[in-house]
Amino acid sequence: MFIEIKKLNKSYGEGDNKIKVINNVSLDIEKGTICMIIGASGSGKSTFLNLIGAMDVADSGSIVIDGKDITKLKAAKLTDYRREYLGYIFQFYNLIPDLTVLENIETTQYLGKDNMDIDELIRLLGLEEHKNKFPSQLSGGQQQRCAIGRALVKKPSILLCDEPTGALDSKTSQDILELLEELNEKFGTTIIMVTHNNDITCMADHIVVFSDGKIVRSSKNKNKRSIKGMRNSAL
Amino acid sequence: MYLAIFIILAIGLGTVFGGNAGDDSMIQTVEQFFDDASLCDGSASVLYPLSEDYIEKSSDRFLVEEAFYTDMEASVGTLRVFGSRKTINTPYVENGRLPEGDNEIFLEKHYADLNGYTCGSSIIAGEKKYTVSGTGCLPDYVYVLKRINDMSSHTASFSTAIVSEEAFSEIKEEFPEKIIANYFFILKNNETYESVKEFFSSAENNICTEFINSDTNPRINTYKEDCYIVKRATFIFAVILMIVISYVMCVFLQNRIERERKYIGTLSALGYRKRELIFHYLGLPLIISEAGGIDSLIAGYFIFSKMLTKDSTDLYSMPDFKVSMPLYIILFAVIVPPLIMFVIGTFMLTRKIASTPNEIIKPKHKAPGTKLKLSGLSYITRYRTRQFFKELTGNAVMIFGVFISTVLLILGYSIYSSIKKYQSDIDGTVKYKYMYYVTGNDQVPEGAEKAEIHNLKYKGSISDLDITLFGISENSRFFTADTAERGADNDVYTVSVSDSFAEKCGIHENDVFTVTDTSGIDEYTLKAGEIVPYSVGLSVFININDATLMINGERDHYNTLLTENEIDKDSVNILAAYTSVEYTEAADSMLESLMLIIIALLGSAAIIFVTVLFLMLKFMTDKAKNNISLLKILGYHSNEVNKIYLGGETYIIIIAILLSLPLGTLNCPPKSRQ
Repeated sequence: MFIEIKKLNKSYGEGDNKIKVINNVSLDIEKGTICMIIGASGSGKSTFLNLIGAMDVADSGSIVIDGKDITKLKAAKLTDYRREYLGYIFQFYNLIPDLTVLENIETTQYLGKDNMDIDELIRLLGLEEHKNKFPSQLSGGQQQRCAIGRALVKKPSILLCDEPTGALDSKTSQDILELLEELNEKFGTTIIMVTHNNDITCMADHIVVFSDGKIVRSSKNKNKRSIKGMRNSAL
Repeated sequence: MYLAIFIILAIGLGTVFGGNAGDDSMIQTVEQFFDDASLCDGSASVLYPLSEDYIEKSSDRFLVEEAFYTDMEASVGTLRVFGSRKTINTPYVENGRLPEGDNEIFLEKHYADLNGYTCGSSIIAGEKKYTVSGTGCLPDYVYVLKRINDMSSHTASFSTAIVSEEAFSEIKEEFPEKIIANYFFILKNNETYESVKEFFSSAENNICTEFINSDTNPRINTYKEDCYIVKRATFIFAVILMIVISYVMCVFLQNRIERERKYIGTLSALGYRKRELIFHYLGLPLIISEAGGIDSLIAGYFIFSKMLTKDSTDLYSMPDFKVSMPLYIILFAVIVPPLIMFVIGTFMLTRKIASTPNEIIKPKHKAPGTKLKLSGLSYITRYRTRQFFKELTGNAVMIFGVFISTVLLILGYSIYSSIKKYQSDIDGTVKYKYMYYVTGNDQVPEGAEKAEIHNLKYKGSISDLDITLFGISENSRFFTADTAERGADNDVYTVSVSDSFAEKCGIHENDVFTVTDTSGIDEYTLKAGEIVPYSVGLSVFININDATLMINGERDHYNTLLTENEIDKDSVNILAAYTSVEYTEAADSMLESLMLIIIALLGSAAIIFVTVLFLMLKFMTDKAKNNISLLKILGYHSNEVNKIYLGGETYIIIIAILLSLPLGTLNCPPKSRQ
């Protein structure tokens, strides 16, 4: 199994204010699949994603990625893990405002060993006319495309997406999801996506439902279909 | 950050205010000393003592008193021994009393301290044993220079002393040829310096060998000139420091407003006026700058005043003084720091919150340097370039701080290296070992070279400068200057000019300039011939006969003997003796007295450099923390993040230093002598 998570726990706060946000969670994810994590606000989805992304440290449990337990790694090795395996897409893009589209994508191209052709990627993302613009000069959808390009240019094995369409209008959201689907098909990238929108789970291979820090349901999606053609009302 | 700024203000301004208060108190004390001592209007030395009748004849025009002296070898060094003084230039007694018996002596205080003499100690002077009756200082020797044109004093080996009238009479009887007939005078009834000089010059077949106006006497006025120069320089430093600190604080303020813009915009939308918002943000910086100003007064008074005036109190012979903080410094400290903060802060903050509430909450992001064409550069270089333009204000403050600290560093080091170079130049240019001021035209001892040496004044851009006229033989073995006898050409004498004089006053070959005697009355027009290397003071060289003709109106006269070896003191009438070693000792003494200032300059340079760099780099990295966090999430190691953010700043600092070095060196000409 590509990703194996066993008995993961994470709490915040101390004493009477201690809150268990991840409660004994176990999950396996196959390589090259789209895994969608859904649940209400505060159910622990984003925290779970941060733990997989080594942006936070679990209290107990293990996260084994491609045979390596990342919970046992020290800070420098965790940085190497993020560098070699991960791409990250945030809800609010988190582009560096003082760099152009091209330069934002270059921030991760600089780290990769076997990168995509950046010009081809920019064309694929539909950003050719905007590559020398700054994020403040782009629409939300264009910024998210730039963020996707930044995440993908180094060909990561895993793409972590935290509400990637949360800040976008319905049409732009559709475009972004179609793009992610296309990239999954084309490059075989494992995508783990957090969303509070149940209607887009149709594109997932694996659906995980979180509630109060626990996985209440984890199942293969037998009714998987392409996100292409989904109407606005659903998004 | 606020604590760091408070400390910088307290220490930086504390040194300025303390130093200035100390200088002001010192000037006040010395001026009072002069009043109490009835400081003379001037002094004159003549070849032969004046008769009492002659003096009495002009008593309604001038008050003239005898102040005969002689230089005597003592247990340590040389003492210029005076008889007791009547009403003019009376000594200040710090310890003990003035001498009464014929075996008592009153010593200058620094000479006594440095050589371990106290009241009751024994000292040999002129082969006679004296008992020290007291120590103190003389108003006409605040700066204890052996010769009026000397660059510095060395009170451990040359100073002044007073013996009783009885004791001095014995000295006069034993060594009549070594007594300098010196007089103090005070002008009465609107008499002028010209008239009193005429009085001395035309006295009874006499020659006035030296005439010094107290207004231009470096022994009396150098301390004050030094104080004023230091005061002006330190006040400029204080203003620059306050502007830099205020600017740094305002840059931090801007950053804080940037972070809190949502709250500010909301408050603005709710009805808060811009004035109220500005005062909210300026409140703490104003309190910090006010507190810093007040604390600088306290630190200045209790810590820095005595510390920073120590070099002056060690160098100059003056009564001890208590430091008082003058009103203008108190007002400056209390008003100026918060005022500068208020003006700069209001200007910067007004621009920041001049927009509509919505624009404050969601400002349009302006990416600085958007018009820059950076294609062709590497990714890292482009990132650093964009970062530089984004933090242009912070970088400008940092570059300015680097510039100021580099200038201070160069200034401090150049003082030290100038004096050291001066000392090494002495060995190369001063070839004589002994210089004897003599009277009469006796046969010149073997090995000695005769010369006619006079002290003159040159009007500099800031103050009058003391220069030495060397009238020397054409083929002098001690000087390389061309001193062929030329005579005057339309009353203009051609002289060779020392390189120190030429550089300091911008004199070039064939320039014509005017000098005067020490009274400022008699003028002489000189033309610069060649420029020659000579490091001791500011000097001009001329043929000995041309010199005596110019000054005395006659030829075949000399007043100085220059030798490589000590001469038999009984063979000539020696009025005063100098050695080339004294020049080096005087430089040592000056270096010692300036060491505290040198250390203060170097220390200030280091503190400003470190503090400005720390504050601005911290500020800029704090601003960039979101981007830095993002880079770490993306997989950048710490050293890679440092390479982008700190690596770029390192280049900026290096470039700032490299640009500051030549600019800072412009302030310190390498051959400055004074």
